[in-house]
Amino acid sequence: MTRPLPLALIVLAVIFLILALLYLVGVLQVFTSTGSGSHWKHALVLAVLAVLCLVGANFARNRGVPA
Amino acid sequence: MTPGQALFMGLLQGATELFPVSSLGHAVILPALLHWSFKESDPSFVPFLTLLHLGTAGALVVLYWRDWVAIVTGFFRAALRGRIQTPDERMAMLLVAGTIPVGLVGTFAESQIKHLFSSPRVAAAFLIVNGAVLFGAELLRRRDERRAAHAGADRVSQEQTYADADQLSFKAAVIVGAAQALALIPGISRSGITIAGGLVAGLRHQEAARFGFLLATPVILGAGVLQVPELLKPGIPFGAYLAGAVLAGLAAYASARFLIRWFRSGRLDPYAAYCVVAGVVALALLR
Repeated sequence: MTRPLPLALIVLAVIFLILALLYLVGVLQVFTSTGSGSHWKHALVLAVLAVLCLVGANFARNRGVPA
Repeated sequence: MTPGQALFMGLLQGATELFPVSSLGHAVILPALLHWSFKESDPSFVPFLTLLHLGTAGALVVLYWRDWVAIVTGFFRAALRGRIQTPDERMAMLLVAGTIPVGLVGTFAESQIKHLFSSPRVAAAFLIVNGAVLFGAELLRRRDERRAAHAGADRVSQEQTYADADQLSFKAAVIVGAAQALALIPGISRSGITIAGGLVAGLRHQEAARFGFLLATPVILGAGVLQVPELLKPGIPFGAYLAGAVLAGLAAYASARFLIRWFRSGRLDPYAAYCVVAGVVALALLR
């Protein structure tokens, strides 16, 4: 049976990666100071979040996070 | 900015970054009080701040290099295994959990927050708020000590009854990390808010400070590294700025060593009083 939390975290990771890509190519301009061009810092932070979501999914799969 | 001002700002940033008195608040208030003409909007100010941050973060990495080796290896071990087995692995994950909120706010809302609160008078007002937060944390700790019936014990024994940083709950780490985002407001101290949060969560003073310094390192280092391209722009007086960064690093190292010793038995009270007095005096002088 598939557990919902790891799956949700993987979906979240994919969403963060897509958002990172959109910031990198300059399509997304929300919460930026310049309002135009590429935003590699935003992209980098979202990519790191995507990786952390995958780590979280690995934890949730093993139920490895103590209270 | 003159070389003398760069050195002064380096010393000021390094000394005030880790003391719970807001380095950003001092960096906004003091130049205004001294009628220095440089502004934060100056194109060379961001590279300067970048170098100062790298100097401070470098000092913290040197001070805690053994912890960082254990934390970084612990992170990768736990991440690959999907399970936490050692205190170092737990600390690594606590720091990750605590860094996410401030990382998000810092990346997506920093310029808006700084723009809103960059006036020296506002920074002075928030310095008073910072003092009140520190006083509040100590009041709660004193109440807890009275309830636990060890109010009469000496300070070192009292402190031993509280927890180590790696015993912090993940919920508390996220709350302390989120509170760190408030330090984007000039006048609110990053280390002050994390130490106060750690105390409320039941940590010993020394461990709250250690957790605060460890939590601050990726944020300060990240803020510095992300701005490195700014250093490559032409017309940056690199020599004076680098000297300022070295001074910031030395001051940060000395202040971290001092604070760790201080918090063996000391409290936040003197820093809280300083913030309130400095904020009131600055407000009066900046009228």
